[in-house]
Amino acid sequence: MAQMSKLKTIAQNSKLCGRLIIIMVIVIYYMLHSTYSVAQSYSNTVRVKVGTQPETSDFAKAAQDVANAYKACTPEDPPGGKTKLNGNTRTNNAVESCTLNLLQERGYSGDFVEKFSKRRERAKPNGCVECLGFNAISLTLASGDTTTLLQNSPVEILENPSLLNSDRSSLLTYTRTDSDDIQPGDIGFASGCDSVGSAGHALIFKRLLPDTIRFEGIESSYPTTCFVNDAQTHPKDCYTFFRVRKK
Amino acid sequence: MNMEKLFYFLGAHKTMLLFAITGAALVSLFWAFFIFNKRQNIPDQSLPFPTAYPSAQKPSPSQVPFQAVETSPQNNEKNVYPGEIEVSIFTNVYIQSNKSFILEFSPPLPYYFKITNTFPAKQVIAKIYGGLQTNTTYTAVLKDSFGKTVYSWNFTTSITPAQSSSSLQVDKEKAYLEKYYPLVDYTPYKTGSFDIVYKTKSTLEVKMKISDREKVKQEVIDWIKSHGVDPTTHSINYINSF
Repeated sequence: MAQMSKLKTIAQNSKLCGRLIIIMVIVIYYMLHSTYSVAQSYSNTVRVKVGTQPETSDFAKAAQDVANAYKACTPEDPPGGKTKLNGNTRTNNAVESCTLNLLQERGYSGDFVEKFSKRRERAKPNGCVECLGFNAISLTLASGDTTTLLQNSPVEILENPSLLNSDRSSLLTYTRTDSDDIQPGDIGFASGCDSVGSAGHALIFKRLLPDTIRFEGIESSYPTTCFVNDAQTHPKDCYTFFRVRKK
Repeated sequence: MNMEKLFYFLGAHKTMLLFAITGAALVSLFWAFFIFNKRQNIPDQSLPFPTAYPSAQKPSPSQVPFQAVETSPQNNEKNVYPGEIEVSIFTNVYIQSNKSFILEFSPPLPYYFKITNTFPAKQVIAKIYGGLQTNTTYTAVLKDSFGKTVYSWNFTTSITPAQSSSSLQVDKEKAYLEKYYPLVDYTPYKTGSFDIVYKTKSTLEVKMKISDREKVKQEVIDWIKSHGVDPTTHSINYINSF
């Protein structure tokens, strides 16, 4: 009888300890897998055909894909509105590799993504990708071209004829486009609204708003440094536009 | 001693103790995890604003002048990015308002700066709009409200130009829209009598759907006024569309 009671106690204690161990394993598993869950869940759900090379005219699409990748690979903004985390281009290694994987899964070839990666390294002053760098890496992703739109500030590029003439090594050409004729993928350089060259910002035209005065841009560092933004509106009077074509 | 004997000797009440210890460990783990996550969520640009503090800690005017304990960029720092950076000064006491100090740069900035943090705070953060000159040594001077220098330091910008001046652009675009397109958020607008859109700066185009021109004109003027805008600031072109 005593032997039976002993065995019963042992069995009960073993059962309870086993449950505790299972709970602890679940807790540890949850802790280990939650930090980059946003990035992982996104990259696990997006499955598109690899090997389809985007056309040069898809510059707007490439810029949108880059913006989406940064957003998907960085943490969500906490509720309340004061803190901003989502879409930060000042990345760490985990976000970096998540971004590259995501772009590859979106259909860009490994070669283009590698060029994008190298371009990103050159495109980050002070640790983050700003407006001109964002244009440069988006163009690189769309075209494979790594030669333009990085070395100078937007104002200098806009004021310097090199954008139109002297960049012979580039695979791309840039044609000045009237603001009444802009289309998705055109590059806009801020021209200070009332006078050319008094401000410095560059973006990619996304769409015209119904008021026909403002447009939506895809860009970085507007209005917050080091963050991508694909829904910001701007008056088109304040920009000078260029159309990008493959040579 | 094997496991069977251990469980046997522990008995039921010892098992409960074991549960309590394990439970406490689990609670601690959860707590530590959430604290860790909370810390991870602090952005690199977030500012630790004090929202409340004991009134005894509030500095009286007699405590001024304050002292600068740290700056960013640091004194004599080289190769500072010449873009729209934030210049920060951390102080030893709470600064009550943006009228408690004066911040100056020499040579003068190409554009301007704005103080972006709230007060009271033990820091002053100045956002440089439009960026800095390249390859230039700037002297920043923090003065108290009486004009007495609290701290002065130097930093030198890099040769590489900045890539963006988007904060300056934000200001310019906002001012431009307010000046020339104050009704842009409300256009295009349609009623049974007319459609109205902006054609160019300070110029509206009205498509009249009825033949009573004076009635339409009055309705348009009333609509413009209803948004707090003086109709005389705009040219209005009326086009028949009936």
